[in-house]
Amino acid sequence: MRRAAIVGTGQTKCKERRDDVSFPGLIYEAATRALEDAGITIDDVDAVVFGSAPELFEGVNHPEQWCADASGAFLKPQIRIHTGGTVGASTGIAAFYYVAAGMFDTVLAVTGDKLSESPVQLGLSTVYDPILGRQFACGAPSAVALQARQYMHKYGVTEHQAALVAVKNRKNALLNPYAQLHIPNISVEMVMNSMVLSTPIKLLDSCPASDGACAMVIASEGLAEQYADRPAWIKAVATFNEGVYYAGRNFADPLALMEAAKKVYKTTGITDPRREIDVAELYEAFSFQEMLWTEAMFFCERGEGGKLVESGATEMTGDLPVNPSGGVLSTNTIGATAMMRQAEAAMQVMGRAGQHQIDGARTAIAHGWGGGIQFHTLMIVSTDKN
Amino acid sequence: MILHGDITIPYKWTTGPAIGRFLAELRDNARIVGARCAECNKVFVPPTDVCGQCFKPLDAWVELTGEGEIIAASAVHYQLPWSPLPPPYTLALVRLDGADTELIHLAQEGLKTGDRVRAKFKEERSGTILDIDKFVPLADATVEREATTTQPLKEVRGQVSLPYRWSYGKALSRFFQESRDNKRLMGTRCPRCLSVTVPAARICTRCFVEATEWVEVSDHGVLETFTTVHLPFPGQPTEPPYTYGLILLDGASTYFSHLIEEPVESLRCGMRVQAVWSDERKGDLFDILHFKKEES
Amino acid sequence: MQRVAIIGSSQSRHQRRNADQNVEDIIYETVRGLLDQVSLDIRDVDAVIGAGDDVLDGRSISNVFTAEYAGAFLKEESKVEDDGAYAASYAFMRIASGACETALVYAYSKGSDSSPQHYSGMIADPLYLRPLGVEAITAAALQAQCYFSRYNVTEEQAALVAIKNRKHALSNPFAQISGELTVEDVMRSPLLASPIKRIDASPVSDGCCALLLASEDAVKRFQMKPAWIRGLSFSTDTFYPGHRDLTEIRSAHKAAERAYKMANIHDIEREIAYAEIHEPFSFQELMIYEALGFCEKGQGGHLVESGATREDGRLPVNLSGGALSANPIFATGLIRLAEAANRISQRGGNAVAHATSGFCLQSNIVYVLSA
Repeated sequence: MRRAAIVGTGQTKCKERRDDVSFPGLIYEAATRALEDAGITIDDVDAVVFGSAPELFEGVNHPEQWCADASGAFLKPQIRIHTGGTVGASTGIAAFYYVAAGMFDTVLAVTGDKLSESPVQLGLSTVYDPILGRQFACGAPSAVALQARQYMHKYGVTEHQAALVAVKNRKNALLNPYAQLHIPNISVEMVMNSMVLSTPIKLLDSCPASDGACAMVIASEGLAEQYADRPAWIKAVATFNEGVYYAGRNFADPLALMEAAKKVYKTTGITDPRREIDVAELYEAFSFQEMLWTEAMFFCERGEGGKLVESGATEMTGDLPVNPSGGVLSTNTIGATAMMRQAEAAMQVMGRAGQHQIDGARTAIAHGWGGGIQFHTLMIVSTDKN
Repeated sequence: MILHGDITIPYKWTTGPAIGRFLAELRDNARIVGARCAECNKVFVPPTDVCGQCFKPLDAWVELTGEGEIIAASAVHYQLPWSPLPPPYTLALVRLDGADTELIHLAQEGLKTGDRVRAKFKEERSGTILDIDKFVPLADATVEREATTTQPLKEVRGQVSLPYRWSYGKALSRFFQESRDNKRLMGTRCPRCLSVTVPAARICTRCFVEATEWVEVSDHGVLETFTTVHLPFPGQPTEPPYTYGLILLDGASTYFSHLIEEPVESLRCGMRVQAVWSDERKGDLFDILHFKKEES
Repeated sequence: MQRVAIIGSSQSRHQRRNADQNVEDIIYETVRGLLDQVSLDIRDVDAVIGAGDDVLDGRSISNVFTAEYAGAFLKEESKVEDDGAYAASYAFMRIASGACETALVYAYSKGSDSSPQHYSGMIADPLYLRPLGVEAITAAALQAQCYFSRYNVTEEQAALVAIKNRKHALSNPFAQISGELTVEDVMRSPLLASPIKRIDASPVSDGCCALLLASEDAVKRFQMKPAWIRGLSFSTDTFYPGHRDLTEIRSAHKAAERAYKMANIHDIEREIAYAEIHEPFSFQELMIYEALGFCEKGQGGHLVESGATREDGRLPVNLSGGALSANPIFATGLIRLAEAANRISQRGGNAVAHATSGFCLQSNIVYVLSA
């Protein structure tokens, strides 16, 4: 397999409503920033991989065709990936394969959504099957509420521990100029007293809805070293699905994530992820999920996710900082969200994370989550090419 | 069995600077403007955000006379629910003088390739592409000019409504027939791992084999997890607050999702619940009204 | 780059309305049919790439439900929301990179569950095109007018494509529409949007296609008859049809040029034995001939008139009957790939498979296959 690296990233400023720019314009903003970061022009790009979440968010089908000028795909190869919440990561991973296959040398991956164009929970409720469950679904919050309750019941984690995640990531977000939520006085009390969305999930346990986009430039070995001083080499990727209606399912046991983690650790030879990974960007759309994901990625024992956050290990000063960007709890465009995890992981190993840089970060992992709570993606990036 | 339904969503589409300016000029000044790419000098009408070829934003404005030539015209003979006019009507590609691209718009019947035309505007204009009524022969349009300054439009509101007739498929058709006619909940047993999928499904997805053995399961079971929904949103099918959960029915290996009708304080993961059947069953999820605490 | 081959395919029997089955039923039967045909188990499949449309399904992120029915439980899985021919390109990349040995591609739709006009109308942007009622048929009608007047191509020449493909479909058991037609039949069929008449347009079908791709090692291990993917490229043009020169399909031309280069094809007439083209409307097959280099620009009408693309011609095109004979949206392009692979794995030679997407052939993908 040919080696490939992330050599440039671009994010838009995310807001609840970007009334100054159209959806294609938002895609353009991220794409041009990624090219600028990589120090290249659109002429250097061989192909584009476009990603966005349900087209009902913007009300346009085939958004990749609508956006073809803005994504840089004019007379270039372009495909659209759509895997729901994971789409940002699935798009970055598809772009990686395009380079790794030897087909293209430089690929632009660009993703985004403009969630303010329509009522987002209405759009998300169309994810549920019309015959089995759309009748009482409430977008993402109710599905994850079922997961959170089952997780609390099976492993004894608490709402208070979840609130610690909500506070930690919002504090980190203060250091990230692109994050949507900046809540300087965030506290556990604020989280615990915030409005209940769907028990046990409260407003501040939950991500916001954002207008935003993210792009990355992925280049092959040889070019990557020219484009970046310290490319973020992509060492392993995984895109796993566990299905919805399978026998013996328990939402507290994310099989697809565990399978994905085993695969990427095996590929990279990682045996002690807690020690060998320097920083993690996880797709915690809701506070509870960060604890669960850290368990499923073997950063701690099953059921210890709450204790892990309590210990301070996942803070920026801890031994395994999780979501120094502020995470999904601070910005969620859905379409670009999982790519922002990859871009942030890359920025960390490239030394370009600014105020939320983790000193000495050499190996980072980026996670994506989506679908009917069943899609998981992982990507490991490293300063180390070999 | 078939489920008839629809997906209806309201939108407020952000125009962005280019389209916002174009639509505002139509509305306020009955004027068509184009945008020139600073790199290749091509004038785009209607303007979009970006010149794809040069990958540069389009932001240099060019005022056009609204006169041009028909490049192609088609008589449309079929009707869509959102057709702008009853058929037959004419749709055309119009190359406006000073533009390097063509505008797609309505044209007066009978116009053909090569004909000179001018935009005829509507009296009442709201900032949409339909502020141009249609393109008509030069002689038939009066020139209107109400040069005022204009602010770009920020958004255009609209709605999408999509009709569906979803097939239940083989397994769910039988499942809901049994629930409607016999108040029975049926599952399908995997011949390989022996797990029972409820509601019945064509296959065991873990083993990827067809599950052909039908078994009845209990309408009693264990509440595995639940949530009380408080968050309201436009178009919500059930009005909050309401509680629903995942139930592992006795004899089933998969979760059944349904409403739970009990005081929230009394709900616990692991508690026994039972179905409350409706007297008017139509063969859908609401053949069961909800689940309640199991009667001892 | 690892070599990649198509080692098997299957299709559902495409039909106007399959009310008894939901999309999961159709997908499962097609994928099961594929595995049976190649005598492999789902455990032999390393990755599953799907293609389908949320708007047609009336269910957002529809692979939440469909992927399991293609065997993706705890597997590497992803989804390309475009024609299956594009999903196959992603499966190709995964195998070519060496990341996996086999990948299954499935593409499907049930146009009859929804309204294809709504699907197509949703492709129109809401600010410029949708309010005017522009969708696939009206956009294509404007393109046909441009193309006909530029090159003096006639409606009758386009009708020959409809006649040829429906006749070819007589021997395709999966086809929805087939028959012996005359130019008069086509010319007299109801006008949709001039010059496009009912018989010039592809139908809407419920259906699915599945394809299995494999590495060279897997081809040997499973002892399969391969159709090697020797060339592959794709390209996209500007969205707004009025911003393009609609008389030439630049993106198809680009894709073909690059695919031929990759496959080392220099003399199309001598080296290509067969082609499957995704032709949403009859006249578009003529335009695609030109873009693929089967004839000079503007000569598509003469090519079909000459009989060269008929069953008994020198370069038969769409022996399956093409999109005009069965059109399960999102599977239509993948079917071209499946049909071309079938033919050359039996008869040898090189084949071209083409698929398209968007208004007025905005995006195009071209494969060169070789036995």
